[in-house]
Amino acid sequence: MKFKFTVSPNYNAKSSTQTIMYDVMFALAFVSVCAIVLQYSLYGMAGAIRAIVILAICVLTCHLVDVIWLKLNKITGKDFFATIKTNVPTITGIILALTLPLGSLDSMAIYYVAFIGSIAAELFGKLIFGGFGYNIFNPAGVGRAFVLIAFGKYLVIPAIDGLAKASPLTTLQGENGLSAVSQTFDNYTSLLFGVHQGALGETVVIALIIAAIYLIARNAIDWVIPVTTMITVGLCAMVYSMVSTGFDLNFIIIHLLSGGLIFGAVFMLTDPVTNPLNRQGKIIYAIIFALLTFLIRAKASLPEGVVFSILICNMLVPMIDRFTANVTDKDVNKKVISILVTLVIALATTMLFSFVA
Amino acid sequence: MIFSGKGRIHLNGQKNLTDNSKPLVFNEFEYVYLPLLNMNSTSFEILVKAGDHVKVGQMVAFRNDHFYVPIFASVSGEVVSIDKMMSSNLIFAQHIKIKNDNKFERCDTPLAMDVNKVSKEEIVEAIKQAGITGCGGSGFPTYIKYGGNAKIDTLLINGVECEPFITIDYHNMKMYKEDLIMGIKFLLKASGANKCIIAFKKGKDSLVEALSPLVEKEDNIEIKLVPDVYPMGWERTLVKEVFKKQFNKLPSEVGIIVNNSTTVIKVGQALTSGLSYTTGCTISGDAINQPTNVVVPTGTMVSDIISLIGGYKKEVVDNNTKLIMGGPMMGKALVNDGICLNSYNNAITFLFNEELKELPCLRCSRCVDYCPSGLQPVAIKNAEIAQDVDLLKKLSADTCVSCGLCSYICPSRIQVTDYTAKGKARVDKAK
Repeated sequence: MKFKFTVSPNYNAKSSTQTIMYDVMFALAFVSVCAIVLQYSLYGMAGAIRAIVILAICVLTCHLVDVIWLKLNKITGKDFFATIKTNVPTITGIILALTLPLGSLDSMAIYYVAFIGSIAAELFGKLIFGGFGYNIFNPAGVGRAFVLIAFGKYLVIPAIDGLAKASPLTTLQGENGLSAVSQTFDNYTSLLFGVHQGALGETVVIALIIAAIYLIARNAIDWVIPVTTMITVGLCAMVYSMVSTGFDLNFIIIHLLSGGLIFGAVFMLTDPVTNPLNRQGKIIYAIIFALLTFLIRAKASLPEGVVFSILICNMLVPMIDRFTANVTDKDVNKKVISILVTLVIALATTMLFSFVA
Repeated sequence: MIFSGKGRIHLNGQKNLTDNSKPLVFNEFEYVYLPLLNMNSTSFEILVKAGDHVKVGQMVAFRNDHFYVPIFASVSGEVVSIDKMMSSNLIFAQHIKIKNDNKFERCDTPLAMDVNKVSKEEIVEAIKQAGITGCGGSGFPTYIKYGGNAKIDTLLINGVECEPFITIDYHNMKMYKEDLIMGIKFLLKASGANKCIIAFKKGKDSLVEALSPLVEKEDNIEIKLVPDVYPMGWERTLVKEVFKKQFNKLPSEVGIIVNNSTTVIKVGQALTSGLSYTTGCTISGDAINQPTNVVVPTGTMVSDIISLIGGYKKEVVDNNTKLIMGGPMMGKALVNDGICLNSYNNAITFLFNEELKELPCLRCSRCVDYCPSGLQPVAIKNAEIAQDVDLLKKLSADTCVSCGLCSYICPSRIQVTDYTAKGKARVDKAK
């Protein structure tokens, strides 16, 4: 009798890459449904239909790009479906769609933007690196950054009837700044339930928090990344407000709950493929992301900095991995110090920038 | 700790396959083949030649390098030949083939030591002469642990058996509870420790029931129940769990000696009534008809045992089944069943082979989260592929214990443990 030789161990856990991806898909589907309901409540049926069409365009285009890519590479038969299954174009598509706004209600431009953005995301974000697992940048982030630069003027968030509520971050950048925001956003429930302008998926904060808890409970994402991000952004906003106008809780809460911060921290920054490997690295990575996001929001010409911060942080990952190549349960003090130093640098930079008019 | 992750996981133990059946004793094999192998050493001096008649307990060979490990005949009869065969360690080693005359004549007299009268040195010497090696599967000579100069205050008896399928330690502890307590008394004296803790997994109520009357009589022995997680049986994890202490190389640094429970039972037997020169072994898995525990003479061939206990399932054909020496996590897969049991082997697992399709690494870092040594297996894997010795050293690849958790947990089914083992070898070579 001959026996099969395999290397040990000969035992495997049940959860697979597929089950992780299904968890992420499920969370994204939940957020999408909430987003569609929200658009319906804000803009009526037209808003809901626009949201569904954008989602459909993104998901289908990502699949289409995958299919064409595999055909061109002459991958056929069983491998064809297996590779599409591993590449998970669905996730890239949904994430990209949820970062897009509805566009102006009487124009079709946003659909073309979604189509081109999906091609950029799937092709330049993922496939040219060799497919899932080999990409350096978050694919949806690549697509979003591409359309932001190329088609910025079509990324319009339609005005909401009866509620003169602009995106809080845009108002924050306006002339009257914080005082204007505080007047319009005295009500935090509107921030939590997304009754203000923003991209499809980023304004439903409650849904995002539920999705995050689900993903953490299912071990699909690491909790340190979103938690560190939120804490650091909170601290940066606190330092900034203390230096420029005096401590202001409103300012901190608006920074935490508005814009794409939570969406980015939960769904894009935690993309395992573009993450550092260990906890120490992940915390440093999240702190750098939070600092960049805050600085772009506060000082750059864009109201929102999540996408560019994610892409910049993705570039830093190999360096962070090299820096944190050690044994995880030894020299704990050194690790705490490295994290504290990063945090102090982040806060000091924020303070420095807050003096700049 | 926030940086190191969990370092342990609950496995589907499948111990119920052999939990309730008492070990079956088989003696009447036509031949036994005594492997001249201890750990990875095949350096043995042979004391018999073909044609000699040997009796049970007669020393037939001993390890003659830096450790001394005698090998004893486990049956009486005629030495047929001394040939090289594949051993359970995947190393070719000399095997002494003995034709069993089924008389089981013994040539040794029981030592019948009295724990109150013997000295520390006498005990250690007796353990050395009895050739007792670590029965947790490693085969490390037990007397070495008691020869050190470190101050020892606690003896930790490891009956955890965290590998799936294996139940032989559990059965041994239940059956030979008096020998266990006797062995502990001897080892307490040999080590100078003043306390002994017997550790095994939670949920083994019948074992607690069996042991507690004996343990209650002794004021320096206690039972400690540990969580049912893997790799709880690894001494570093166990010491951390029981004493909240960490050590660098050996547990004696923090005043602890760890011994497998079956080893202690053997010590108890060897110093009083005499060893039986048998190997207790769990034979389990989904590819055999009758998973069971067996007690057979050391050196019995695996195929002989299988034919006695009901054979393979009818679905088993060439190359669709794995024969694993040990449990499925750390055991090595062997290619045929003409393998002979060493005295310290404790399990054979037969599993149907599942073709695993390897996917690209997702960098989910679960291997980092679950590594009990606090290593970053996927980083080690990448460094090994890049053949980067400096990075491997920085990642402490040489401290990997090959527990197998990284491959077990990997959602992309990458054989991470295999890469880390190669990385470890590369670092060792560069030293």
